[in-house]
Amino acid sequence: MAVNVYIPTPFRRATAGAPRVEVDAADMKELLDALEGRYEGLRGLLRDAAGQVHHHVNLYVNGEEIGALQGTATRLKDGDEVSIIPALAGGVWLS
Amino acid sequence: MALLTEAELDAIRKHAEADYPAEACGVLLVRPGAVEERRLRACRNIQDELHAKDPGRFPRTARTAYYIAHEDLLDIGRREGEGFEVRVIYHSHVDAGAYFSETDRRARQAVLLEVYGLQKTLVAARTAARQESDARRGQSSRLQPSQAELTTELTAATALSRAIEGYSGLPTADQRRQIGWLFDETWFFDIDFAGKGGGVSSFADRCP
Repeated sequence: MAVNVYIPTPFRRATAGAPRVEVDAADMKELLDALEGRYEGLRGLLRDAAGQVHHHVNLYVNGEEIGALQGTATRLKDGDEVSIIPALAGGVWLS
Repeated sequence: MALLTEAELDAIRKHAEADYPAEACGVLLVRPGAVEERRLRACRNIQDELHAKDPGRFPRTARTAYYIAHEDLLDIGRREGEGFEVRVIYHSHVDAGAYFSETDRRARQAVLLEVYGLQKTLVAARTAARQESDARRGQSSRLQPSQAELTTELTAATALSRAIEGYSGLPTADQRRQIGWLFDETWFFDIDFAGKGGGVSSFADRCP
């Protein structure tokens, strides 16, 4: 199941600068496992020690955020486009 | 060129007024080249939607926080694939002063860590070039341009780190030890941003 994965600029140091990589995976969990297995530097960037995707990391399958799908159980098929996009968020200082 | 042109600043002010009382947010995308291409992109703040859906995880509303919408994030990612860099990330503070919040300050400290890393690399590269040059005295002219280039880059990186320190203060020893720390915050992205190939520029360029 060859899936095309978009790597965001901040994470590209882990993929030797590659903006896109191809991964064989049947679902999102497998894809994350495969990515972390292939690129050691991605460990800790995508998921925490408990294996949960960091809150500040958004994962999309063909433009749909996986929270609106089946989370990391979301199935993948040949040719799917997965995007990893860190959140852009912030706000005023609350004392 | 100024980080933001008068026209861009004016557009940002109008955006902030239009979105009041919610925080307005957006980015300036720049594609470097002989003629720099600039696109100011006003983004949608979905903080209220997130707050309504999960107030535990998102306790703030759009009045005090912003979260750029998924469709905007995806589009920004696509633009980066076309050679654009996120040069500026802006957001408004509603009925508050224009200052760098704690979150903003932490983001800049993360940038500093990146810049310090770059400086260290440049110093090592310049030292290696100098040693190589000394070892091959007859061919030293070949390496002089590289040394000069490295010195220029180092000077620029040093100036950049000093400028950022002015905004954020030096990172603590603990922060330096825990480079992973910058990935622990929800807000993180203003941050890492990383840079060309994980370097400094696009990350650093996001600092006003």
